[in-house]
Amino acid sequence: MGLSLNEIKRYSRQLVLQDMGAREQNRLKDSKVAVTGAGGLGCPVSTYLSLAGVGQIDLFDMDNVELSNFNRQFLYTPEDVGKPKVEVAAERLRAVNPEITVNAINEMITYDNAFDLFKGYDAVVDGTDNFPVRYAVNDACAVNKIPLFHGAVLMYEGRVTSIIPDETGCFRCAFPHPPPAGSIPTCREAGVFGAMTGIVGSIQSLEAIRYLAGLEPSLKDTLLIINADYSIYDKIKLKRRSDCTACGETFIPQPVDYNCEVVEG
Amino acid sequence: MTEDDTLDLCGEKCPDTFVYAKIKLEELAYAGGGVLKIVVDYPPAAENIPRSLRTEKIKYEVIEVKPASGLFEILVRAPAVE
Repeated sequence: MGLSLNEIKRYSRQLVLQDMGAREQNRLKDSKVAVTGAGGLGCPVSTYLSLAGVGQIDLFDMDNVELSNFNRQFLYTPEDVGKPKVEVAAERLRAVNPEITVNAINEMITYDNAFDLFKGYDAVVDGTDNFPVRYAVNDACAVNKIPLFHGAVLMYEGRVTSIIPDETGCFRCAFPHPPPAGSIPTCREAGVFGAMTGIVGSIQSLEAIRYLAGLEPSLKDTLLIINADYSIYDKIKLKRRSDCTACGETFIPQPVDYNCEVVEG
Repeated sequence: MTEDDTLDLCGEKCPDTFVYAKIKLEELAYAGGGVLKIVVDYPPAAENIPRSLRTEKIKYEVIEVKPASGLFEILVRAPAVE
């Protein structure tokens, strides 16, 4: 069991939990996770993965910090405006937990590179803010058999589901096609309630941490919908589709080629 | 009953006493099982450690809790776990 005294102290409040212990903590330590997006979802996701002791976290984003990020993206300060998000976020996370490795990857995710980028990870946690990247990440994870923890927020509504290859359906099983370009307001048009990104990102990280530790995620084949405007906490059953072009019998590449930001990450 | 290993937790308080005991016992269980003597000087730990161990997934057996000149010795058997 490879936990140092420092690590035992640092993680003591989760090590005391009934289903957690040195074995589960070591599984987290040995895990390598990609977080796509260092925004509203990426901030809570990467923070909780770091605090829990996930051994390697690769942060993907190519945006710079903007003042309009500050109603929800808590890893940045006004002094960081103009700097690459991933660089700032990685530095903060390393400072909070020096026991882990955090890599900043300032690179655009496309349908062409996603299949190479998301290889060899134990999990991907998706906090992207647009459909082309979301479908690229889903298809890459489906083909490369990587568990994907999906989250999305727009206005007062958030959605979360946990996708485990060969066990559950994927994002494309639930939503085979993206909405037509321009049919959904972008987050710039519609706004994002900051606390909702915290809730959704926290649930995504909770699910990912449970999975990585060897515990059962609770949102498999389930889409959790949280709507603060209507006080709705709803669960929708999802089903795997054998004819899915991403995770079904035959993989058919289906890049989403329009470029509109749709859902907050 | 003799112990295979001793864990001295004098100076530690709850819940850290339990965390250290749990990690050590887990190591013992995965290494084929055995008996661990846990020494504490924080009186509530003498009750809390055995009580918390009973709720663990691994079935530990608390053999005895013995006061020993201001200290407490807790003898626990860890089963072999794969």
